[in-house]
Amino acid sequence: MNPRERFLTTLDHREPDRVPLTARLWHDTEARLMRHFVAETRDQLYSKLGFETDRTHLRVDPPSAWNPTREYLDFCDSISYDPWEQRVLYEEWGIERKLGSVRPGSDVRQFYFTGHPWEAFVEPGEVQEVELPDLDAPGRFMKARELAGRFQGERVLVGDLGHCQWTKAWELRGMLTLMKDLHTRPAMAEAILDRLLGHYLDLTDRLLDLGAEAIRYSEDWANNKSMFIDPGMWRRVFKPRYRELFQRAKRRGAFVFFHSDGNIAPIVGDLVEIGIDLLNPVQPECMDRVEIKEKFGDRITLDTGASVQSTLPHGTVDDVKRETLHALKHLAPGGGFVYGTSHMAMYDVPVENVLALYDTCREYGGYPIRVP
Amino acid sequence: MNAVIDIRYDEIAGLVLSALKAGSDPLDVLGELREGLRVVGERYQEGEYFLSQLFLAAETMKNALEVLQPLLAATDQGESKGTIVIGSIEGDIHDFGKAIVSSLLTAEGFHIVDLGVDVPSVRFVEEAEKANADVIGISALLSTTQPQSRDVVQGLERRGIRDRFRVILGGTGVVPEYALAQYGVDAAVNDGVEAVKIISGWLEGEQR
Ligand code: B12
Repeated sequence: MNPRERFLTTLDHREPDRVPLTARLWHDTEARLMRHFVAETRDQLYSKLGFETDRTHLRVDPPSAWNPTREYLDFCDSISYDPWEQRVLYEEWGIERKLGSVRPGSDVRQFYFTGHPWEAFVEPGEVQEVELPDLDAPGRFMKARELAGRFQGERVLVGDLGHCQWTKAWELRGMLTLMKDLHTRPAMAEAILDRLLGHYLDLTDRLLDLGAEAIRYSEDWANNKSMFIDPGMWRRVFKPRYRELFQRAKRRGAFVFFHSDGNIAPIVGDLVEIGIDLLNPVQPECMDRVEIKEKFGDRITLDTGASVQSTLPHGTVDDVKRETLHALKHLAPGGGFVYGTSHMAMYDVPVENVLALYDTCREYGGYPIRVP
Repeated sequence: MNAVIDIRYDEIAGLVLSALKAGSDPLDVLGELREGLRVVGERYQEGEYFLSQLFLAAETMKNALEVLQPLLAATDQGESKGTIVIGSIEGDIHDFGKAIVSSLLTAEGFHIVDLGVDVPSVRFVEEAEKANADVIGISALLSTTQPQSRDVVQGLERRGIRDRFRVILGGTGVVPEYALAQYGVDAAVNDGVEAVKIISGWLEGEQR
């Protein structure tokens, strides 16, 4: 089975030859692993860990007329981020960022938000008047088109919408201001969400036109304990808009992939109802994954992994092995399962723990699952 | 009380004013409002209320306090219940948790000195001394930044002032037992309501 078939089989709730694997590695963790394996590329590293990339993300590009300044390229370079991606995610929308540190005493940097372009809006009408990134600008989908051509039939092509409602809205408006809107001026919040909805519906169509077989939505709805807003409000305000977004993808036969950190247990049922096919990362510290598998495992794929908050950084090799075996045993049977790191494995994760995770999957991840 | 529970953010100032006009004692009004906030905290911990409700209830309370403060100035309730120096520690730029817990603490009558994000551990020590604070609050959401709370504790020890401050670590991924054992902090939480209870316990205990 090639990686694409393996992934499609699990999405179809059948058992492939073995559990499809992924990895999300902080650049420093990745570098340490590359040194360990004497690997030169990410693909080589993955093959040493025991898997191949099974999806390619198609994203919107900056227009070809865009000519980044040296200063801007340096900014992106210092955070090891792709300038093109930064451009379309934040720069074009006017979301201001500044450099902060991520690892004291080292030059590893990270940006943080310092300004939200829609924060000062008083009237919902102002939201209508702002100009959004022009999707018709020449060059918009240059790289995406190239990737789609290169990997068609080999990997699953995922149109990556990224932040599109809640997360994009707070990036533009400020989280606390958006919360105030939702409680005291819902018309403002809804105007923002509607404006974004139109834009992202349009983007959905364009990604599907390029051959996307799945659309991915990335919205963080919770911390480890609690959702940002109450599920009742979520159902009233957000659910109908997500339904519309998902429908747009589904009616053309695409899968719907949804990402949210944290404890979103109260809304998993709603997300399933409005059509998600895959949920990531189903954070192990926050939700009972076995319960979610039991309730919804026949309808959604759990794209999950080992805890990056505790087990991977603080646990022993045995702890990692135990957590992985537990996941394989309870979540893998029947398919609908992808495993790896639950989120970014950062610089506090020892190489041995990453190896333990993938070694265990290599040893026990073949179907039918036989975990003691 | 219900005005806080129902998050009547825009109306609360007017409601407080009319209660006062009708002859209510400002201290009673304050007591009622605090009771409202306590109920909100309880509902949050029981999973009935969520983060935005916690935040908005605290902001509603702050709006009420603006009206009440001048009248309370003459009473012992007019004074701050204690000073908390708070910040997101170096390497960490997450600040929603810090903002929400700060809002809750302000609404409870504590004075907050906010150092911002990406704050080196020595600055916590310096600023706490400067502000003559009672508590140092460290926000750290990343497993990579939480261990630095140990540096703050050791910084205090080196200066021989460890016993002048309580140190509390907060953030989503904090595992309290682990953090208490590893970092030498006085408390560790992943829940703002719990934090307010702990800090109130410390400072109100001392006033007695
Ligand atoms: C929103 C978010 C972001 C936003 C932050 C925006 C902002 N202005 O704050 C952005 C997108 C910028 C971001 C960036 C990153 N993030 Co982030 N983020 C989150 C997310 C989704 C929610 C955090 C949040 O806002 N919670 C809401 C608040 C209210 O909750 P809270 O912080 O827990 O606060 C409560 C209590 O803990 C307590 N509290 C909080 N602070 C304090 C302080 C004191 C003194 C006290 C007493 C109490 C207290 O009171 C609050 C109320 O109850 C979490 C997911 C999760 N599971 O939590 C990831 C998460 C924290 N992020 C994570 C990561 C990895 C990152 C990045 C490295 C990602 C990247 N690839 O760049 C960067 C790091 C940047 C940096 N240097 O810090 C990981 C951390 C994993 C780990 N190893 O520990 C998490 C857990 C995601 C995950 N699933 O793994 N993130």
